[in-house]
Amino acid sequence: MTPEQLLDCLSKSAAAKGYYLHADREHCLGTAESLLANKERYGYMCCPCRLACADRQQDSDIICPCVYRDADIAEYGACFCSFYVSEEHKDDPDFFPDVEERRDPSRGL
Amino acid sequence: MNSSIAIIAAIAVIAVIAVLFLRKKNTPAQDKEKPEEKGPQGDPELYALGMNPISEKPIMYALTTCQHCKNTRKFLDANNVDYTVIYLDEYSGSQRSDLMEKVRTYNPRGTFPTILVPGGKVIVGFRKQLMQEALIHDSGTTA
Repeated sequence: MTPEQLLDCLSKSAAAKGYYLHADREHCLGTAESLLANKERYGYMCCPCRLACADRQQDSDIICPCVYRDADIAEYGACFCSFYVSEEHKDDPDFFPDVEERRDPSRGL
Repeated sequence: MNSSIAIIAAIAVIAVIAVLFLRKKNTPAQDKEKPEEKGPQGDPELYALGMNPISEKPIMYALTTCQHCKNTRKFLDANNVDYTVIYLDEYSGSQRSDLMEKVRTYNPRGTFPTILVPGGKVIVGFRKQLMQEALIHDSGTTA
């Protein structure tokens, strides 16, 4: 699968939840490449902005889309990686809010 | 005569048993010498620096996959800031967790990038304004 194909798939599944991919295409392509790299490396598409444990069960909350996405988009308008955004920010290529990590540090390494 | 043969045979049997015993005993020791970690292990010098981050240059803890880290690097490169980057995802096992533990001593949330500025300041995330103030305006910290 190419990054472009992955973006098409993720864009459709995001739309079903009322979300959009970030308007900066280059940022999205880079994220898609990283997701594919993590799939190759760990066997699952772990969040590229977080350090994986390489254990699927332990990393289950940060497999993209992570379990924190809904809360992050509701509070900040974007997910932790600024990959998914709300409708309000779907056309803004410069929208990169500082999203606070809400994952419990004890869950990671 | 028969007793001599019996003694020689007994010695031979004991020798064979001793050799087999010693071989078995050596096998686990050889296993212990094998590296206990599987997976990638990044540059040992960068690992050492990451664990003891004393440098005249800024040190950036990052992930190869992280867009915020890539954007931070682009910004620093565009502004001719000399820095060292340590990619935690290039390590595995205990080295990866050791480095993560070290990052958390500077940034308890353990997020990336985490930049240590000489002088003690810590910048977390892709923060143009903070980098501008700490690394570009203050030429004393920019190598």
